[in-house]
Amino acid sequence: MDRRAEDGRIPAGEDEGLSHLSVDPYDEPRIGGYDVIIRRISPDQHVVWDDNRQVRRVSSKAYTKSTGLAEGMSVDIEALIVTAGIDPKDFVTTPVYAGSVAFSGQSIRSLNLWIGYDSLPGNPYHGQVWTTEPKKKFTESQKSGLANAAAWYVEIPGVEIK
Amino acid sequence: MNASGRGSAVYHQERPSFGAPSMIPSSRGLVSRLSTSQARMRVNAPTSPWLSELNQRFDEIVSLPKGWDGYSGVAVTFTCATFAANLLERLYVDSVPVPQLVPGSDGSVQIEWHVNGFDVELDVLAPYEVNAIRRNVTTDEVEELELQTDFTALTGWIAGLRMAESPLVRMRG
Repeated sequence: MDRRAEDGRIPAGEDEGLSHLSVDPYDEPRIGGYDVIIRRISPDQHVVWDDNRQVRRVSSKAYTKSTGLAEGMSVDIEALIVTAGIDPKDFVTTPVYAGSVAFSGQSIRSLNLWIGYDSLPGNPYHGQVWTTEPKKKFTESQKSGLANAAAWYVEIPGVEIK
Repeated sequence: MNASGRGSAVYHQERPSFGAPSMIPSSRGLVSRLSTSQARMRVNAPTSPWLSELNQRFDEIVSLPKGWDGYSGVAVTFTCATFAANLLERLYVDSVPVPQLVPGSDGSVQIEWHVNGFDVELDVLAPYEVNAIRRNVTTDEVEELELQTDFTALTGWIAGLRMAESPLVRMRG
């Protein structure tokens, strides 16, 4: 039975239990320098109070890669969502509501990071940002570089990006 | 948030015994329940006010549902949470505010302070695998440490967060 919704997405939770094999880190040439790369930000989990700056802001933890050789930082590739005829802002706020920030492909690559496709069950527009050496974590300058390059895509009211 | 109503994992702490990787499980302390197994995690009673205040937050981050980050994020692992709790128990300094906890999509957890002119972030990737940074907000100077067994350097960082040592506070005093 096809479980896909009319928009082609698989309903949340339908894929639990299915294994997902991450692709090896690579740099996808079809992702251009002006392409919009979206990173979801959890308003409940990624936001901290910064007493020094007297603001609520996104934690640097939101700009880190997962551990594991093939793991990177999860993102959504806007161009793929648009090509599929889906409203990207609607897509990245479901099924779990999240704020999100956006980077350009060029801004990510300028930090010596790779971007590639890594389709997930339920999210064929998923990609990852990887270090060019899989064993390495994002450096502090790469994390702060991502924060500096980020702009709100779906703004979380009252929260600063950095 | 207490997720016990969802039947997911619950994390309680009682005095973590830092530095003992075999502490899970111990014969004392309270129990964390996993909905799908008989698994139990026991740690000892907390003595520091930090852990008392963070009890509910630990509970929350180890109970996060799969996909909590909008992708395929998992809850903070018990081993990371326990190690983070033990680390905090050891690092506790009176008059330093309670830190904030931020989960990672991979089950790791970051401990953060942003007070007294410094950002101090301890990213607990796994037990005995901590990336630590301290940023001086005024000068933007950043120190980075990759720590595995010796966490002595952090004691000075945390002591520097004492609100009473703030230049502003000293001036007022």
